[in-house]
Amino acid sequence: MTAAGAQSPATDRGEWFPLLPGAEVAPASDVVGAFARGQELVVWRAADGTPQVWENRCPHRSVRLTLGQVVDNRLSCAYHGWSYAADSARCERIPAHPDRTPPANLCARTFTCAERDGTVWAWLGADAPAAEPPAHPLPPGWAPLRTLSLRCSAAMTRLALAALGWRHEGGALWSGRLGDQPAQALLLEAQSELAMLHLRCGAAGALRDVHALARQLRADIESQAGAAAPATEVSS
Amino acid sequence: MSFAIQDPGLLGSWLVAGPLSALRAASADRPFRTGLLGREVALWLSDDGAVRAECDGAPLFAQGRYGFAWVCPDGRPARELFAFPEFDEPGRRIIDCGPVGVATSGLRVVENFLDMAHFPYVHAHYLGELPHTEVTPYKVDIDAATDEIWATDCRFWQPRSSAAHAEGSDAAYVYRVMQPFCAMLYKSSSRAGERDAIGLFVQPVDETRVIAHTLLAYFDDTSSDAELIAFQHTIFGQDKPILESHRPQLLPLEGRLETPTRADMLSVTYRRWLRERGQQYGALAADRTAALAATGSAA
Amino acid sequence: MIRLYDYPLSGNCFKVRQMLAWLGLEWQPVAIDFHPGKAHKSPEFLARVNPRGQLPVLDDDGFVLRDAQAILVYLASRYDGEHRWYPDDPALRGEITLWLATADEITGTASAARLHDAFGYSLDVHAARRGAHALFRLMDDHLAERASAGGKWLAGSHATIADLACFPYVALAPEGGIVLDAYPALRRWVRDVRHLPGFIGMPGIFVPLPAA
Repeated sequence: MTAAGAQSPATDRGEWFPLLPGAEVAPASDVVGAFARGQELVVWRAADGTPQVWENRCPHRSVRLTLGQVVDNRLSCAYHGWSYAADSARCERIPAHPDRTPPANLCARTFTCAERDGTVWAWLGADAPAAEPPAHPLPPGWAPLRTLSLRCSAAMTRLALAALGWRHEGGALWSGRLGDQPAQALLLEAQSELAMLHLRCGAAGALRDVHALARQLRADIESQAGAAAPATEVSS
Repeated sequence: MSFAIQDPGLLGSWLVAGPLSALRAASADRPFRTGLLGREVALWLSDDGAVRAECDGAPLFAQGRYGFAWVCPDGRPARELFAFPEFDEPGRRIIDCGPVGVATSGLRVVENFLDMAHFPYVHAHYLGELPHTEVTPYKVDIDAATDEIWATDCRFWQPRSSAAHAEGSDAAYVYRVMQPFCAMLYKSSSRAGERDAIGLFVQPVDETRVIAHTLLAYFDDTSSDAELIAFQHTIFGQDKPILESHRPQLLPLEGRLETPTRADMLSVTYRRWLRERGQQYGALAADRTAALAATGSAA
Repeated sequence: MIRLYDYPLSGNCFKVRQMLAWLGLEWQPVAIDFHPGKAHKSPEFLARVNPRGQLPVLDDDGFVLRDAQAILVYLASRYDGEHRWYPDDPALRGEITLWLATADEITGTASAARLHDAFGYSLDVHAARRGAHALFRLMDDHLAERASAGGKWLAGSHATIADLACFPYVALAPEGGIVLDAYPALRRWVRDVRHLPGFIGMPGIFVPLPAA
């Protein structure tokens, strides 16, 4: 499997995907959709803050769990209110039968996840996960800036970043500049034609300027990649 | 014959193709065009009022009934179109709520129509209200003569079950599945002692896109047409994001990708009935279901 | 008495219904058979209610106003004693007006795509979807920049009619085949609007359940 753009054998076995900044998911409230190599995911937090990354699909009738909400420290599906416990993802409540205990093996599908250095990571792959996601601590005085969405593949994004003078530090981490400002990006392969860059940089310089530079980076990457306009055919 | 139908579930069946009102404005030169089973179908009324239908220039077996045009794609209807005596009953208001496009399998749309457990969640304050979530046992039978599914003794507490009901009541429902893409529900009317009927006729444009036609056959002396349609559209509009979020869109007929509960007895029967008929269109084949359950891929 | 020519699945009508709810105003609906009847295009409606043939139309004791954004400005100006939904500050007014204009563009793109997919309207749906994506990218950029400065709303430090005007057809965009996967800041804003106290929702946009 060595065709251009194909997965390398190493990634077939599994890897950590930087889904989103941890600040995007507040405990016991936010239910956020995320994507990793085409896998649809739902991200939320238990009341104690533990991140949950599950398949975005209720096992009852395959409705997306991102339509639901957190109720009593469980993720409750919007269709029939089936409610799944944090951590175990076990269904603990089927409202149509309020006096019955749901079967013990009725669970949402979970993915190993971990939060490190302000990013929520999920492990996808056939192998058991590597112990922890990689450490990418924020340099002192730096802060997350925003997530950029690129209308092209992660592979094309890597080529474009390199062509634009960014350096691959290993794994998902890239370093470069936004104008004069040193910056870093965590690259997420979200879907086949959607890559995301979680940008972080220092606090020097006006926010307005650095955001403008971030948008310029996106334009440069998409131009390098020959990115198509967004799809207007509706696919399943 | 332009439709190559191999699906045993579709052979001999009648599929809705559009409202007769659309055909009245059409002619052989300027027919009403719509999608069915992945193809384009042209429809119009002949001078004697009969429904004419064509696909790729070849005529299709068609009829007009209950305010709609129906097509039998393989030209050999297995039986008459289902009975709907309420349509001709004096005093009933017959209201076509209009075609609504939905991006999912028609089988998912029918299954949602047959479900009560979602009322307090999807139709809160209309057809259901927290904490009244319990679905009490009901009966499901298959009428051997017509091969139709009937669910009776269905009850659910509703704060406001139709445009004419102003207060909460324990609504009694009867559900009926006449064909894979056609279902009916009967509920207590605002006129005492009577039942209102709501027909859902789903037109499969392709396997993951449909046009849903809803027909009301109501006893109602107080609401305007616009009010009755507005209520029905409110209910349907509440279901729409749920219907369009199923992944997979196709309905799994076997395997363990999806798990029913006792409240789902009607949907379990519907899925088994579809499987026994050999339904493929809009359904997920067994081997793909198993693969999806193993990998969890949403593809 | 306030009367509103209304249809449940119209996002533009929802804007007015929601504003009336937030302002605590009583009102009466005049149900219009938008679909399938297209009653808003009937000669009678054009002559007597709105020559543009559109919903919503507000009738406040004889003062008749069309256009959802115009109605929001009127209701907020007349009835919002706290000046919260349409604040007096000139710079904010300028920004809000910009987003009201954007709301109209959203109607012309995302809502048009939804009318095509759900109600069978004949129009160039691919152009509509392209137009919506361009607007959504702009909005996502704007909201991401505001978030960096600690802001959640399109204009100002709290929700205004700018947010209400732009909200419904963004939230309903998937019904027109426009997914919001690439716009995380926009998705967050949709969630934030839904969680405002007193949010009433509409068919297709859920009201959050009580979390406890």
